[in-house]
Amino acid sequence: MIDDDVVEPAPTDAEREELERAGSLLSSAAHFELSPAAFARGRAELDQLLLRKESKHQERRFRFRVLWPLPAALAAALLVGLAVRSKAGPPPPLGPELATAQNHFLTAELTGAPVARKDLDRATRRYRKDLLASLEAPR
Amino acid sequence: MTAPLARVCLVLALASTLLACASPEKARSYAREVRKAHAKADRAKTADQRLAAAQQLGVMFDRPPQGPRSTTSALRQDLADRAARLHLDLGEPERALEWVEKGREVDPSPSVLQANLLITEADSLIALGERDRARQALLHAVEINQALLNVELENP
Repeated sequence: MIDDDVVEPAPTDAEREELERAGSLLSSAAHFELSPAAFARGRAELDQLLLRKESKHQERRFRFRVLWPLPAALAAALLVGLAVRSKAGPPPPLGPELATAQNHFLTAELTGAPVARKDLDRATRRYRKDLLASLEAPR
Repeated sequence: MTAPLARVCLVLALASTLLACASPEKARSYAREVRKAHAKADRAKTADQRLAAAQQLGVMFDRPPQGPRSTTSALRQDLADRAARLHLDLGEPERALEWVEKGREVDPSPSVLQANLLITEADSLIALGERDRARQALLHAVEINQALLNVELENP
């Protein structure tokens, strides 16, 4: 209950100064407040900016997700190729000495001349030695 | 979908690399075993020793080869040819022909060892009294031999 008889004391100078400062702040507050239209425009711009940034990020992530297996598969293919090549290795020696011994042997065999089987065996042994040596040689 | 594929590729690559790294020592060990089998055949004088040597050569022929395929194919053909020769010496031309067949199946491309196998085939067929077929085998060996010598002359 408000007692009408009670008289409020007049504000002091300091209090008045304080009140005036608050009043002037209140009167200028409207200048700092955005109109609803401006607020909506700002919000829309902000949303757009955020969306663009997100979509760029997503695009980058998608591109990485799609593309990273390609270099990996390429490297894998390269390694498999190298491994297969090392398995295939260099061709064995042609064996010209053995081919020559065979030629002499076959000529003799088909013409009825004395057959030099020992020469063929010797050439085969040497060829075998070459094959084994090529297998034992460090690669 | 590509990610699992890449993973599979990577695993394959890793396995291949490991195999490739491990193969030189295995190849050397394989070569030592092949050499041993041939040494046994070199020392074989009696029929029993020859039979044992032929069996040892057969064991090496059947063992999974280690090393470059082209070289191991040649070595296996040589193992088969030597086993066939031993059986021929033991008076078993049919067994010899079986080994010739096995050897030729390793790699049908023309080579000095294919020609050697054909010569052994001809000798086995002569032992069986099949002179015409023996001659055909020899003529086939001549064809291969001529082709190889031509290559040798063109690329000395």
